[in-house]
Amino acid sequence: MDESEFEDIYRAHRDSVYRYARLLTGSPEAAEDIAHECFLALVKGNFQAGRSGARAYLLGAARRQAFKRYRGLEREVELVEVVAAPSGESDLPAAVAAAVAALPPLQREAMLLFSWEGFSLEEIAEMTNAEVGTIKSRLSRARETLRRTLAPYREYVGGTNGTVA
Amino acid sequence: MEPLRDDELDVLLREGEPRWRPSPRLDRRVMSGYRPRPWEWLWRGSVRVPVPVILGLFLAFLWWQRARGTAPAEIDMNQFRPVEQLEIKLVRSGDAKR
Repeated sequence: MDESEFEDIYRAHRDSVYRYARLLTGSPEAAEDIAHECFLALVKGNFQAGRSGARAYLLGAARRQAFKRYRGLEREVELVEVVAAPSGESDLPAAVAAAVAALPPLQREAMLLFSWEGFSLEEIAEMTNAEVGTIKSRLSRARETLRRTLAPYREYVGGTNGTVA
Repeated sequence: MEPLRDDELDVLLREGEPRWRPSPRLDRRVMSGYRPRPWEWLWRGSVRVPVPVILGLFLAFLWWQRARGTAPAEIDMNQFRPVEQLEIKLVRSGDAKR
């Protein structure tokens, strides 16, 4: 893989890998360390850019790194902050991130990969070494939790674009 | 409070997607890792040597060692002189101490 090819892959997937690692670990510093290791592994592992799934490869590597660093990863978030009266629309990303970060790690991971990274259930199952049914179950439980914790932000649904899709 | 509907949750997830970005330090770390400085290679680099090359070098070393060991030392026969006087002298241990 030449340098320009590597740089293209890096620029295309840097933010996804960083966000994924940060949601799994809860730490910006750990997320950068993990992203750094994943991209270097891409080079040292002689990954062929022609093969499909550089993003899946990188996120799979990030997943292994994150779980290796943080066994039994759990993130305690003060849900009181999330369900408090919203102080402004600019709080919405922080509130959503906090709500997702408060989910159990495997549900959090499924939500990120499905809702924000756009992977299919089958792809997520392959990346996480789980059954498709298990992924569906994790997503279902995660969404059920988020429907409750983000209920105070219902007004932003209508206010953002005027109508609910 | 009534939970959100699925479509409402989808909107919030879309609008509330985290836009986190890493620091510029990550770019420097990753790209310098791809482009190591020349002297770093002397310290941390490695080369891949094919096994046949290693075997060939080893066999060549063995052959060289063997060739060194079996080469006869140069001896100048002209330096040899016959013994002029051959007397057997018995020395007892007590004589040696005196």
